[in-house]
Amino acid sequence: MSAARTALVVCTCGGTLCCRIAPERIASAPGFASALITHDFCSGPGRMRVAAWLRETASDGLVVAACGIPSATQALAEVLEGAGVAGHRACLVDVREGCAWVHPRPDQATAKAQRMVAAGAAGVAAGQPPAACSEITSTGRVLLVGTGPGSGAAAARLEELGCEVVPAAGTLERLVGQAGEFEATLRTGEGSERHTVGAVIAAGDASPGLPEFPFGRRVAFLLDGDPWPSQTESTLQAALHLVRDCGCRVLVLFRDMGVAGPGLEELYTEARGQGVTFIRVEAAPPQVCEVDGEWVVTADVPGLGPVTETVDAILGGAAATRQGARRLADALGVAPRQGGWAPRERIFLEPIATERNGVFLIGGARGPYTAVQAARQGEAAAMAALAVAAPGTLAIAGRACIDTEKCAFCLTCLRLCPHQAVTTALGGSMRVLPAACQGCGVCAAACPAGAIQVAESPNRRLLAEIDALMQGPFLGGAVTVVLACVNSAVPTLGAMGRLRLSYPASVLVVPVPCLGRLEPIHCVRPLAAGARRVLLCGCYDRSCEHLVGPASARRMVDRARALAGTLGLDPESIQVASLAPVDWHRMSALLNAPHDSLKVASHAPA
Amino acid sequence: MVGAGPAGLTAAQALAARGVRVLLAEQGPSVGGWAAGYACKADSDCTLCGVCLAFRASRAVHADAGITLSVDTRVLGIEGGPGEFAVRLAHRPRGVDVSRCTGCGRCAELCPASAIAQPHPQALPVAYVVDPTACLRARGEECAVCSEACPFDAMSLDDSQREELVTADVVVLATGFEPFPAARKGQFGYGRHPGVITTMDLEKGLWQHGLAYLTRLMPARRRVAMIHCVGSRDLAAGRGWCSQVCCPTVLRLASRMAREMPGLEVTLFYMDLQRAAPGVARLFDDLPPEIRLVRGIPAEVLGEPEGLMLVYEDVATAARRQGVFDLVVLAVGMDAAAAAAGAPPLVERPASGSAPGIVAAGACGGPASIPEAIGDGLRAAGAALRVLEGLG
Repeated sequence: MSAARTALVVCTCGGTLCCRIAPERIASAPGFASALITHDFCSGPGRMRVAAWLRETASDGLVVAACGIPSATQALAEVLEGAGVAGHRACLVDVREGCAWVHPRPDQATAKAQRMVAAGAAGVAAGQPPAACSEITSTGRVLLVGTGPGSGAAAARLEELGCEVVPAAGTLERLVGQAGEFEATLRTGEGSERHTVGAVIAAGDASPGLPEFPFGRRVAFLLDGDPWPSQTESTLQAALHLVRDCGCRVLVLFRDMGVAGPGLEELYTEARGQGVTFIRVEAAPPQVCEVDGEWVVTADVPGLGPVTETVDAILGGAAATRQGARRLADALGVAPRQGGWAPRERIFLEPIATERNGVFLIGGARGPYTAVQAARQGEAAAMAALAVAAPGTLAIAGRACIDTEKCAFCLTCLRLCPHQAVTTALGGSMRVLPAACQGCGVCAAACPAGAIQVAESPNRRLLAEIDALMQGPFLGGAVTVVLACVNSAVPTLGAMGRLRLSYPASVLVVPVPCLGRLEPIHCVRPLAAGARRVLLCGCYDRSCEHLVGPASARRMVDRARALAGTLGLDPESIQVASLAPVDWHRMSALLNAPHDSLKVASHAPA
Repeated sequence: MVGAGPAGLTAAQALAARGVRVLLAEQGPSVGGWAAGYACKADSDCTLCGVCLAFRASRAVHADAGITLSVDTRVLGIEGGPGEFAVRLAHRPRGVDVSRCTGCGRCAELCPASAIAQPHPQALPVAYVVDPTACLRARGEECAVCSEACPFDAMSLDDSQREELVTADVVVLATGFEPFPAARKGQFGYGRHPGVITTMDLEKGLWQHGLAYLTRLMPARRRVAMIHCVGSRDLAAGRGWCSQVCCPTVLRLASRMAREMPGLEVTLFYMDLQRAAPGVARLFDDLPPEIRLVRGIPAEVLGEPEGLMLVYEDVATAARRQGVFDLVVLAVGMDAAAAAAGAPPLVERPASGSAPGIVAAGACGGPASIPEAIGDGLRAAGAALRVLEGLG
């Protein structure tokens, strides 16, 4: 690495940035073998010119100071390929949306751009080549668990798309391995069976249906609790059947009719038209007592007072049970969400996925969905399963990588990985399953031995960037370092740029792949170097693509604050905030808030 | 692929990942559909509305080399069958070359008629758009300020509408929905009283302006009424279906507003509260005291000097009640897009996808939330793939 020749390209965006930042001053940054000012980095000819210049100057590293639009990212990829520069030896810093457009004073914008370029250079110097690709061969088999609604649709679509459906004959006990090559263990009447499958679709159990007829001519259904669409569907279908085919008189006592599913309002209208009696019970649940072998139901009906009806049978709304869903989730290794349905409430797992790549939950295994909803989910899951289980060999780039020399076998990574991507390999060492790993880096941040690196942005690189950003006093005033999640905070900064919403130039931003990646040192180092505050800006818990990033970050911040305290730094100056990628108003409020008010504004739910 | 909302984006991405060449035609100037104009509705945590899912899908599709994205493009007609569809497209002139524009904004800065703008600050593609009704050149004047100033030679002011005939093996229709036209329920006064808005207006207002949108609408007092089922579950309005997404949307919006605006009082007028959607049961269980529930839909909204008066029946006592509010939000239902536009359907019953080789995806086939539309996009991609494999 001693002969590294890193080049710097500064793009002025057609000259429009020249009055807002000084390109020559940015281009004269120390530490680069060569520098070029261009006006159209992202254009076709611009890309070719830069690639040719890189070859001429025999550069093997590149920092581009340009903008945050997708064509700049594409241009960088093309330039690197054209000039034969490795991806980990390059970086793009956004001095347009991130400096020129948001800081009215050109001297401050330029000073900040210089810092960003220095940080980029430090990152390039600390870059590591990606881990080797591993190959996964799938046989095209997909395990289908359960016969609940949706399983038929999933099976049919899987076969149409060339996958082999393995119906689970027995109870699923265990699922190990990763997408493309799972090992499923099933308990059957005779013992246990093992299957190698590329993906798993779990549909849950079929709903129990009506008890055997006859149970008298007068029937009441009691629907209490949440208005589940699956409950509405099964109840109203049963009620219609009893009215039409069995000549029953049917009463449905309910509080809210759950009609939020395809065709349910139509079903409700039909049931009313066919003479099913609906009684809305507003406050107290209906009272039921047995008198001479008959059931007497008393309900307090709004506007009418107590209504009493005598019936021969009382049925609950048959619906998918949470119990079964919970057992299944345990066997699949996916955590049930609060209340028992699986998976956890995370927007990036909707509508069919789980935290485990290649494992899909549909229908009654997922929630109180109707048959139509379950069938749609089944067909969607079939398509998603195809992506990981289609017959053939997939090359998968490694992300997290465990150094077995350093690993102390403490199992912290195994415990914390939200994607079940860490496993114990034969011979007593830890291994990351590449098809399961999503690259969040929660393991790397928590590993006490520092034995885990995530290829695309190793922690060393992040620290090098932070240190370079904080090198020497900053002309724009007391510095705020924003550790910004690329999925949420960075897009809001782009929007602020395009809207020309200004914020202090002393806000220095370090993009991070996920807040879960950060370690206490990333928070404390800027403070030790004179920063006034460090703001960790990322997703909400339920909107984190990596599922546990914000929660990990909050735990980490507790440690970081303790560390700051022992070093005589203000622990309260390390803060965490959540936002969505589309909520630039919130970002603007965070960055423009006076230091003290932010302490109140940033929230950290328990 | 017709339509670049959540369903179309997802289907395009899934097909491209299987090596299918996809032409994605979007009639708007940028991708994302309605979902690209919704606000984040997190309260203390994300409430799973799915805006982030749509945001991610937009970025992924825009960066996908296997998908040819064609914005400003309407489908005029589809003829033929599987393996030999002929699709007639009309490209609306944008005034700006999408492949050249870097979004630098020079044109918008200099335009004497303020006729140039970006679709929105996170629009993809990032290219600006010229409004032909405001552009001086389009109105016959000799103006070339933007063309001369553009550093990338990206202005194309003299373009006119261009038609194109493309062939396709399979067609996926993901044309989405239209919100119910709230003015049709005249008793609620939408369009007459400035304090009556729809959930779509509220989403867009919060997204574009943040809470300032609300403080502008309600400078002094903070009494909000939200009326459910406007254009849903309503046979009189010709809509005998539940739009499914509006109850969750109302609960999410109410929770966010109540959390971020101290002193706000929100009253929800509803028939049955649909709260089975992921992320919503929690909102209902922890409903803050500022949010009040009243069963029943008000009869009318009257503009009174002291505010907007709602007349409704108290279901518990069957008594007539009145309440005065500063803002009334109508939770409008979803219509299939083709029906609302009043345009002739592209094919016979497009929503059913019954024509061979034409697959419907997302909300054009019935009300769908963003996550449901994304799931349906995947489903439709599978159906399209099956058609393609049948062709051999």
